[in-house]
Amino acid sequence: MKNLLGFLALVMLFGTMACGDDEPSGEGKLTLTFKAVYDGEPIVMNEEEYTYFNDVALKFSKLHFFLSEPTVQGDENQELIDILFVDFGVQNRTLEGAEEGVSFTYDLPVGDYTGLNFGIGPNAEQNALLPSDYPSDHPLQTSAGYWTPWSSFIFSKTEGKYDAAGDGSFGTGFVYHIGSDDMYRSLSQVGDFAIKSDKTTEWIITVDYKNAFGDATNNIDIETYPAFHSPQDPTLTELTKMLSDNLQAAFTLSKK
Amino acid sequence: MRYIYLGLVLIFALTGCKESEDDKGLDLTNIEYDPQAYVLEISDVFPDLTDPLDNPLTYDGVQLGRHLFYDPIISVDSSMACVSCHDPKLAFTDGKKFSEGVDGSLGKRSAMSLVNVGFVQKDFFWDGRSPSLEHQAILPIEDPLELQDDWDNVEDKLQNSPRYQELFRKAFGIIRSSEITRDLAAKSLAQFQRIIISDNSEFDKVFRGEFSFRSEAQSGFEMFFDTSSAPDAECGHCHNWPLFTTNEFFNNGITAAADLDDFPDKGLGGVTNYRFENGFFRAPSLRNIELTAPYMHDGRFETLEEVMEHYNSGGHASETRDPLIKPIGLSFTQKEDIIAFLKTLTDTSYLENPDVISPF
Repeated sequence: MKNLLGFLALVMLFGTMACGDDEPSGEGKLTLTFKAVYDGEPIVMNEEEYTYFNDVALKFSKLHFFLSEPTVQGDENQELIDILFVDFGVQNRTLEGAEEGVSFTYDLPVGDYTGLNFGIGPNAEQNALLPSDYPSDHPLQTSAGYWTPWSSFIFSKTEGKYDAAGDGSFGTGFVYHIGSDDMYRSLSQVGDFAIKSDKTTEWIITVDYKNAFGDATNNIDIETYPAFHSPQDPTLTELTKMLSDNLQAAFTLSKK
Repeated sequence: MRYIYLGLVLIFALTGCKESEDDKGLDLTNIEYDPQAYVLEISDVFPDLTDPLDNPLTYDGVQLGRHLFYDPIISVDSSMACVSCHDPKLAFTDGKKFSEGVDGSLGKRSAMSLVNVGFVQKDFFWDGRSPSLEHQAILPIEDPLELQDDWDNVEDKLQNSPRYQELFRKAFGIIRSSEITRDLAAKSLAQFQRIIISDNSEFDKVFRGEFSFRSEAQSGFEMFFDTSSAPDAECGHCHNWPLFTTNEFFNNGITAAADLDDFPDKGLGGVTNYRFENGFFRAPSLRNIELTAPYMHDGRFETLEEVMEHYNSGGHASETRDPLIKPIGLSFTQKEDIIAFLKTLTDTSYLENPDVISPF
C-alpha cells in the first residue's frame, strides 16, 4: 500500500510537470513598425517629389501623429502603452530609413492573439487634460502638440510644400493639422498571430498619405485650402473631418 | 657621499608628499553641508522643470550658481560675467544685436533670454548645439568671442578662493577644495537659471480670471491664437501657450537663400548637418518680448513693429522656409493689436526673488 501511494504521487508529479510544459509561459516581443508611403512609394522627407491628384508635385516636411492605447486582442486584451507618438521626421530623411520604418517593441505574454486596435489621436479622456498634466517624459507633455483654440492635442500633422507654378520652386506650403474629440478615429484589424517565448512578432502599419488626402474623385484642394485649423469656419471643419476620415482609411495593418 | 644621497632622497620624498597634499587642496569638512531642496512655486499650467536626477535644485546650489553668474572671476581678465550679456532688467538679454565678449569681441548671434529656460528640455542655444542646461553653462567660458578663459584656469581660481571653497562645499558637499570642478560649476549655474521664472504677466492674470484684456490686446490675442473670425496671424504654432514657445526650430523666412547652402548662418542645420534644416533657429519664448529687443538670432529687427511687418509680408523665399510663413494680410491696426497682446506677456516679477538678483 505504501509503495502504491508512492507510485501514485510520482505519477501525479510527472503529470503536473507535463501539463506545465504544455501551458504557454514567459514573454515574447511584438514590434509595431510604421511606414509612411505615398501611392505605395516610401516617403523621403523634403527631397522626393510626389504627384498629387491634380498632377501638381509636392514634397513632405513633417508627418507625425499620436495613437492612443494600441491594444492586442485575445482572450485577454493587452494594452501596449497609453499613447504612442509616431514621427517620420528623422527616420524618413533617407530612402533606407523610410523603407525600414519607425519601430516600437513591447513585451507580451506568450500566447495566441486575434488582432490589433488603436485610436488615431488621444482619446477623449486623454484629450481632456493639458500638456502640463502629463509627466515630463510623456509624449503628451508637449506644447508643440497642443492647440489652445481647440482645447485639444493635435492628433496629426501633415505638412509640406507644393510646386504651384510648375517651375520646380516648391514655394507654397500646405499645413494640415487634425484635433478635437470629434476628429478622433479608431482602427481595428483582425488577424491571428502568436507571441512565442523569446521571439519577436512584427506588425507592419503602413500609412499611405495619398489616401489621407482623398481619392481621385474627392480629395483636398490643396491650392484653395493649403491650411486649415480654424474651428470658426464650417467649411474648414468639414474639410478637417474629411481629413480625419481619410487618414483613418490611409492606414493598412498587416502581420509580417 | 652616501649621506648626501640619502639626504636628496629625503628631500625629494618630502617635496613629493607636500605636492601631493597640495593637490588634494584644503580640507573643507569644517564647513557645514546640509542640502535643502529649493522650493519653487510655479503655475499649474506650466510643464515640469527639467530638474535632472543628478542635479536636483538645492538652496545652496542656487546660491553658488547665483554667485558664479554675477562674478567676473569666470572671464579671462575678470572683466565680464554671465550677467554682462544676460541683464536681469532686460529679461536676461543684453539689448544688443550681437553680444560683446572680452576685448569687445563681437559674437555671431544675439544673446537669448534666460527667463523660463528651465523648461527647455534639450537643444539649447539658437542652433540647438547643446543638449542640456548643464552642458550649455560650460561653453561661454572658453568661447573665444565671449569670456575667453579656459576651464583649467577658472577651476584654479575657484579652488583658491575662500568664498567659493565655502559655496562649493555647501552646495555639493565636497571634502577638499581640489574637488571644485567645471562640472559642479556648470551644475550650479544650471540650478540658478532654473529659478528664473516668469508666470505672472498680465496674460497670466487674465488666464486666471483676475483681469481682463484691453480691447486691443483682446483682438491681438484672438489673431495670435486664431480664436475668432479675424485673420489668423499663425503665431501660436511656434509660440504656443503657456511658455509662448514650442521649443522647436524653424526657418521663419528672415533670410533669402537661393539654395540650401546659401544661408550665411545655417543655424540648426550647421549642427545636424541636415541641409533641410539650414536656416532653422530656435523659436524663442515671447514672454517678456517687450524687453528683449533687438529681435531674431541676428538682432536684425529693432522693434516689434518691424517683426510684425516681417511676418505679415511672408518673409523671404528659401527652400526651407516654414510652410506657415506666408503673407498674412494684417492691417496696421491689426498688427498694433497683436503687439498690444505681446506686451501683456511682460513680467519681471522674478526680480522680486532675492535669489535671482546679484549677491554682490
